[in-house]
Amino acid sequence: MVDYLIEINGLKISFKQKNGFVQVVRGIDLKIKRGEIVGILGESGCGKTVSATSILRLEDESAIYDSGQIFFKGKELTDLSESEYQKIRGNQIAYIFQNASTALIPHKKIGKQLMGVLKRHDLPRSKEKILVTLESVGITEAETVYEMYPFQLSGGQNQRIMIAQGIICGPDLLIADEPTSSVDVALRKVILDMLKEINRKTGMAILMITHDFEVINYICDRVVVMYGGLIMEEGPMAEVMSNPLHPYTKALTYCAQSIYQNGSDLFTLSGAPPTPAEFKLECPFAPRCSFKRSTCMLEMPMMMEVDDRKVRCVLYREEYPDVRSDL
Amino acid sequence: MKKYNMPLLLGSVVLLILLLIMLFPDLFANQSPYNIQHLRFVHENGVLDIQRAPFKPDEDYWLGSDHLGRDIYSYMIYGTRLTITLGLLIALFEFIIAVPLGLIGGFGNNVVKIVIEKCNTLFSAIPALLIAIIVLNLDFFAGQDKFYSIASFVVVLTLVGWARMGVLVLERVKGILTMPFIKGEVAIGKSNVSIAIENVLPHLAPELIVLFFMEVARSLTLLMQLGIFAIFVGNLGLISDASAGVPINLDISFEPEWASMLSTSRALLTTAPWAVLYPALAFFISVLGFNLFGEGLRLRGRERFFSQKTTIKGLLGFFALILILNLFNHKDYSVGYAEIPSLPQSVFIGTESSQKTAHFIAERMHTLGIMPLEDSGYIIPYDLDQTAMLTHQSMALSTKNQTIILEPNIDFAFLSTDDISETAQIYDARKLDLFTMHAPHEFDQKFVLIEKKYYSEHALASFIKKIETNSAAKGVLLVSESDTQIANLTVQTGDGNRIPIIEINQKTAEKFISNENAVLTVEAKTESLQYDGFNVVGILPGSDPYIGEEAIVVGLGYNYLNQSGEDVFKFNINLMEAICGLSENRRSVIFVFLDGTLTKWQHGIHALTEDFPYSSQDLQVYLDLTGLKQASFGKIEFSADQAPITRQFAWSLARQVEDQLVKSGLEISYLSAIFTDGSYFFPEHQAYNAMFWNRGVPSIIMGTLDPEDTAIDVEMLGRILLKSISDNNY
Ligand SMILES: Nc1ncnc2c1ncn2[C@@H]1O[C@H](COP(=O)(O)OP(=O)(O)OP(=O)(O)O)[C@@H](O)[C@H]1O
Ligand SMILES: [Mg+2]
Repeated sequence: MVDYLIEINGLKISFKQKNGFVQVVRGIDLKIKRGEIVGILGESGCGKTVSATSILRLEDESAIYDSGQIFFKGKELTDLSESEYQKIRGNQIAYIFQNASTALIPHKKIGKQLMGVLKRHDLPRSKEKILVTLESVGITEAETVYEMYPFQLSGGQNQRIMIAQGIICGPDLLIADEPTSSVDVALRKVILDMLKEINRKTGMAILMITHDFEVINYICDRVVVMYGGLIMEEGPMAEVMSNPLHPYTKALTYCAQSIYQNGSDLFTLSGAPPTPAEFKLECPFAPRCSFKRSTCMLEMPMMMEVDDRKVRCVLYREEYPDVRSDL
Repeated sequence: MKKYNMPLLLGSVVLLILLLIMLFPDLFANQSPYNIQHLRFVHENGVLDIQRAPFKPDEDYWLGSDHLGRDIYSYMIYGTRLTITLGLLIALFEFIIAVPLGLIGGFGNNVVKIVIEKCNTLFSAIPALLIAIIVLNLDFFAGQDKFYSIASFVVVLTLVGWARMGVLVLERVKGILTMPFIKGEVAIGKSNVSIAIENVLPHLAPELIVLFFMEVARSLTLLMQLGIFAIFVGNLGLISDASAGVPINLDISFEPEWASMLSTSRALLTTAPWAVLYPALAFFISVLGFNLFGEGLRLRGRERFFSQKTTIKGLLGFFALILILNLFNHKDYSVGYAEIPSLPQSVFIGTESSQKTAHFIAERMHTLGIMPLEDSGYIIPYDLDQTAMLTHQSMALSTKNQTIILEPNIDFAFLSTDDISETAQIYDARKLDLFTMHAPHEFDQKFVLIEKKYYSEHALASFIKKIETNSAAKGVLLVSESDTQIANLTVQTGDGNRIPIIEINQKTAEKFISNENAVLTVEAKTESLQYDGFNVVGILPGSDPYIGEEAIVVGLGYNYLNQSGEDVFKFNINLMEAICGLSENRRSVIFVFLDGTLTKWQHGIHALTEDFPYSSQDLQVYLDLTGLKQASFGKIEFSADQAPITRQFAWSLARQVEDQLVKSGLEISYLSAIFTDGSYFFPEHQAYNAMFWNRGVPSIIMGTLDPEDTAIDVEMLGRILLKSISDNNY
């Protein structure tokens, strides 16, 4: 049996809202090996951030863990006390937030901010280490930046500082929520290269959250496709790209390809994903699916194992062998 | 063109000026705040005009005076320190409560949140002013000493005001906690406490500092409003006039302070508007200054704030310094016993010992830089013609079956006598109408017993005269009011023309009356005194060009009979030296060492007050310490009855001494006084009345009591006196 770095089983999360509870994450299973780079792909609002933050219990008080387990290095995290959690956060599992510029403390100089992380986890407070880390994320004038406030830096620089803060303690897992969404294409590649480099050098596993196929394609070993609070498909990157199993993944790859191949004739996916309030016991993608079957609307499709891949679609049940070939 | 931050600039100027005034009031004031002048004489076009306070603003009184004759300008200048300090303290304590609670509440503690919100609702539903008026008007708060008065003000106003701050902080903390960077801090593993201290507080800091200055302004406004309602620090709750059956309060403070000025003078609004206007103006300008400064800081913005922390830090540090200076302004005032070699065993009036000691004191004054007050020198002698020392005295009461021997200077004491040896019956004249005295011959060959307490000094003198001329009485027995010790060491002589006068105590009188047919045998032998009485008088000139003329008189004794008395003398010498060493001697200090303080009639003060060598107008207070007779004692005798409120310097000194005595835990026994002609009079102690009644100088009297119960050392008094004199004289 493989010894996973992190293993999430059947995680369900709800939010308390005015008119009762709304389940946003409806059962996630995710396993990451040491040194692996895994991507979570999905449209906006499908529950990527909530799933990822729940690993570190970073949601606000309105979040409720309905069920599920999270094992980190074999240890169950959901049972931990707040202070035990504090020892893991930043130190063993680091989190890079979606909007880096606002996630840095405005009244603290960069140097002090990074020093704070070291101090929190009782690591030697060396300026040297901070400068080296800053340089490793591509900050050229580390000495100068050390004495600057976040508002004096550009969005891209702040993004790198955020990453520096994430990696400075040498965590086993880095969760990066859209680390490249606020930077230009050229810089995006630099940052991704950098993350790859760190992964290669230190064996730090990365969980990369994005809605950008390109990013996933460039960096990830494995990909998880989410839709409507569920995982729709999971598998090695190259295979999912070349041979998507789920109609949703297929539609996504089609969209992506159409942008790069013939700019004039874009393929678009009609309709919008369901909001958590609209979730029913049916395949969430069914209303938009062109291969829809009657059973899709009757029950929640099960996760099917297809070779070393997984897919949540009724088409892979025994009764529809013919349709699969149409895909 | 550079754009200036006008509010900040103006605010800084106002605050800087306030700061300078607080630190160095004497650079600004042209008079002492304790100066009081009821009447003044003005020459105008050759015409002499007498004016009564309040005076209009002119070159002497820059902003005029109030009805007590206090200079508004100087009082305001000196009042700045206390007033602004109060404002700062109230704001500070509000923050000390509101910030931590606001933080805890903001982090989601529901109990704290509810407390803050409820308090805020309560105190905004009922105006803070109203609560403060009701609470601070309780008798409990009136007439407290300085420290407690300030403390209670700060406590009450803080309690009334903190919740408003608390809600503000709470809301801001909640707001800050929803900011993304807080989640960032959680993600790197920080705990709530360190997030509160390292993130929320620094993030709040600029707003808090702005708020702090605004809050000082608000506190000052509240103080001003309270002042109008006669509530201010150190309101003594005095009643100036109750003649119409309705008590009229005299709202006055012992310390210069703006709110008290508003209050004291509020009735003068129409007749002397300057007395109210200027203190109110001072309030307005300060409130404006603090508000402008706060607003200016706000305008500078948060980013500038972070990059220019040091200036703000410096400024806050400065205010902290002032608070500290004000709160811990303690000096060491210790007075020990002076080392004096070869003192006589005892010093007594009319003997060589007294003459020698007087010379010693004069020399000591000279070396201390104290100047003689009279051209002839430090020593001012006075006549002791009709005075003698008793060398023998006895009294015995014989009935049919026994003889009771009475103890001299306890049961009885001669007040006046020649050498006598008489035996006679006693005539009880207590129930007689002595004013008419129908049958004086009934007194013939008898001792006449008279109750002293029913008659005035004058009446007694005239009775004795009548008895002497109209009868052949053997003597007069005066029943003293006190039932314990009565003593007198010298007597007046009558050159054979006068009958003896003997004071007896209550117990002795009872013995006399209960044995109806007893005979009394009285003997006395006297020896006339060889020398004059010697008062030693010197002045330490005041350093202040305006108030240097004003003087404090310190009356000390130098006669003694035993070791304890000798220690008191050494203490007195040292007290004089210590007063000379005070840095605040802006007024003159006149030291008078009085001779004959152990006697009833030859007490040097009587001779001195007949022709005191200094203008009585300039004498601010007479501090009578001749009552200090033992170096260790159990109780302190004290009276400030002759230091009325209208003589503010004396009165406030008396207040300070009394406060210090109480604070030091000394038991005070108040001298009993009789109220006649609008002033107090001490029937049992003629000497204590001399300065006040002969020269109109307000007097504070202190003495020692209960030498058997020797818990207290006179050194302690020294510290109290020095501190009070120094404080009152700044
Ligand atoms: N604190 C919250 N309270 C209530 N609902 C929430 C809360 N946080 C997230 N949600 C809901 O959960 C759903 C998933 O949100 P999530 O942030 O995980 O989306 P996402 O996949 O990260 O989208 P994006 O790509 O835009 O970042 C959304 O519908 C959102 O409205
Ligand atoms: Mg997201």
